[in-house]
Amino acid sequence: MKPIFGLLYTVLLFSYIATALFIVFHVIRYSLTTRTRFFGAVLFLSVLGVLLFTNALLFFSLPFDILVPNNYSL
Amino acid sequence: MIHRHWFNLLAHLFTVVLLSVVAIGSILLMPFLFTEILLPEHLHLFLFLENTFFVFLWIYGFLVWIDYYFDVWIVTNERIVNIEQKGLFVRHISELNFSRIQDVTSTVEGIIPTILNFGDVFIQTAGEQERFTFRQVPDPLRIKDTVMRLAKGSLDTDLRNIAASLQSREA
Repeated sequence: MKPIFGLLYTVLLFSYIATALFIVFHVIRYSLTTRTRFFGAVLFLSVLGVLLFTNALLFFSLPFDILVPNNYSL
Repeated sequence: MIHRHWFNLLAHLFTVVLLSVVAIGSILLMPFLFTEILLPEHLHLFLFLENTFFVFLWIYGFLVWIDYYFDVWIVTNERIVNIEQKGLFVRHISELNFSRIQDVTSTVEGIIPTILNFGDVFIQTAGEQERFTFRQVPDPLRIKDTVMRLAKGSLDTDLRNIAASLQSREA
């Protein structure tokens, strides 16, 4: 895998995770009822967890050697 | 406890729903329009981009919901509390005692607000923050009447307390 793509993907992943943490913090800290607090956080984290997991799997299965020819030295 | 009208949330979530439909539509249609996409290397890239887009939509959708759900007005028999959430990092909380209320106005503007009965309620106050606003709330006329009734009740109580204290001084 080309290191530059790994670096860009890491930045993207961390920005998603940072935003997700702020959202979870808001849901847990400021929700008006315990039910909303629980269901909001569980729904958000479960769907996001699945999406991020499949996202990482798809990224690491990308054939960069074919998609980006070697004459482009990234 | 009052939240903005559900139509307000729907209007903001419409973009998310539309973009989701476009993304799902592209998954279904792209292989027919561009057969090269079915090559394993292209398919992986395409699915990765789609998945990244869905992650973005999911986070954006929740940000919209947070903006809606955490904007709240709480009316008690003593005061009104206004909690206003703007994005993730701005949160204003203000309180207003009924005794400071001078005037209450409700407005319903537009075709959809008229049909669904939602609009703004403006409260003119004697304090530093001159105007207190309930934005895009359901049934603004009823809220205006409730606030006016509670403000009048608060004023009557204040007057009774003053009269009682004056009487006790005289006695």
